[in-house]
Amino acid sequence: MTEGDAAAYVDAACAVHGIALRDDERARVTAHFVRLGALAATLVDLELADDVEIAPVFEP
Amino acid sequence: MSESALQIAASVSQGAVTATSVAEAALDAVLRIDPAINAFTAVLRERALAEAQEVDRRIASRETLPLAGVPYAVKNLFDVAGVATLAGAKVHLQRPKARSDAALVTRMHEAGAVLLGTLNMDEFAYGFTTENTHFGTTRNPHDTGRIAGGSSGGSAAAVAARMVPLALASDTNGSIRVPSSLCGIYGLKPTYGRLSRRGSFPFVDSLDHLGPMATTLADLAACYDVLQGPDADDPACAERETEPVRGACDAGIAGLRIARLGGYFDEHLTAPARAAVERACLALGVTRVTELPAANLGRAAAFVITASEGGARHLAHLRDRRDDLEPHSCDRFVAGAIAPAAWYAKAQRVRRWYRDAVREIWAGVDVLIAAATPCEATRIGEEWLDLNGVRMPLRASLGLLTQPISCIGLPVVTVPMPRAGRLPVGVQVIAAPWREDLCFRVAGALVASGASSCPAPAPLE
Repeated sequence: MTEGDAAAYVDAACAVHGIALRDDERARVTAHFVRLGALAATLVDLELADDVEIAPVFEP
Repeated sequence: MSESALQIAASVSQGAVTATSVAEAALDAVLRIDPAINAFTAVLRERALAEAQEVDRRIASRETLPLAGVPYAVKNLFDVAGVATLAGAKVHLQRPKARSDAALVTRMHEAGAVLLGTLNMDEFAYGFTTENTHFGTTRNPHDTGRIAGGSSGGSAAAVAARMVPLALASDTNGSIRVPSSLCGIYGLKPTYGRLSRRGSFPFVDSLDHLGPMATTLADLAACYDVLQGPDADDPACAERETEPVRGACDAGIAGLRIARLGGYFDEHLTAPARAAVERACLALGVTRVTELPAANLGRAAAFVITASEGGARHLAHLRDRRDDLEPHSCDRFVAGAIAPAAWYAKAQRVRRWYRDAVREIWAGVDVLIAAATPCEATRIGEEWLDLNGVRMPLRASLGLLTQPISCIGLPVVTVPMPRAGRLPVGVQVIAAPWREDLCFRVAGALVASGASSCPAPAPLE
């Protein structure tokens, strides 16, 4: 994810979520999103067995 | 208020003092001390005196109350009947007042404790510093130019400053352990699902825990014991009966296999935090070092889950009320609210996988020791932390050592390791799920050795 990708994603996703960012907010949100993305990147390509399920607390 | 909770309970139970006189003295202490600290966001004088009078009636009718007349206060995300539950947020000032007390506040009431008020925190618990723009910064009683830590900074500072012997708080990524470390007090983050969260304002359902703070380990144990018990109204609360730990503090550590956490936990330390871990290990005779497999991934998973669940919860505020939200966390909340679902779902699966990996280590070890914070309390307003030459954003980095543990819900007692003339820093005593008793045994050994204690700060009035 490039800085430009992140900025474009933040713009599009905020529009989808109805969050109208000012320019100063956009820069800061993008910086936080890049930081979050760097941590997420350590997870997304990790190979896990198919039976490693999410462990929710949900009792029907 | 220099007496411990158990000393107060004994005096009130024996009729040496009344709960009402204890409450009046405690309320006066809050008025004298809190202006220098800013721990309290509301002092509930009428309620405290009414609750104390009820305790005096119950004692007169020969009820046995484990926390008879013990003053305490709660982080302002606990529901208190008649008070709007702020969760540190200006946008909550208009919320309807809570109609009843949180489950744990009810249990404290049943045990005879007396609620004095509610305590400051980072907005919606998303922070480690309690620099709350709308309700003011909570100051560290050991150096009022420094942070108390967060997000339960008000709780830790109120206890450290001896305004109350006990406080209740919450911990999602370190919010009990970080301020306990920086304020030099005892704090417990129990196993995920141990204590009922009913009537507390949520942050991250997957990771939220509640727990007590105290100036002595015995008080921490006594408080935890009255808080335990199942609650069908908290979907995450386990159906486990109370497993008391009070006897564990003096049980010793014979037969326990204890190791210091190396690797990730050794890489994120400044010299004072490293020294605290070394003193604890020396006192316990621990020389063994072990690693938590993939702790960095556990931390990343907790970070992503927190951002996503926290951001999603507050989406409406992020859309419409951003100018009224906390500037320190608002942009971080927005970034979390728009995080891709693929990141969140994978983070939850990694959490499950990491839990399974850590479960295996308990075959060879009983208790783990690690620092609770990478550093001592930093100056108010500080933005950056220098960790071994790497510049890191302070407000996110204070939880580096706590996040990998709470990610998978392990129980932890944070133990202060004071050194004369230095700011406090604490260590985490970590055990397998549901083994809080082992945390208390090892913490008790640290107290007995003299290595751990909770010295009062210089007078603040």
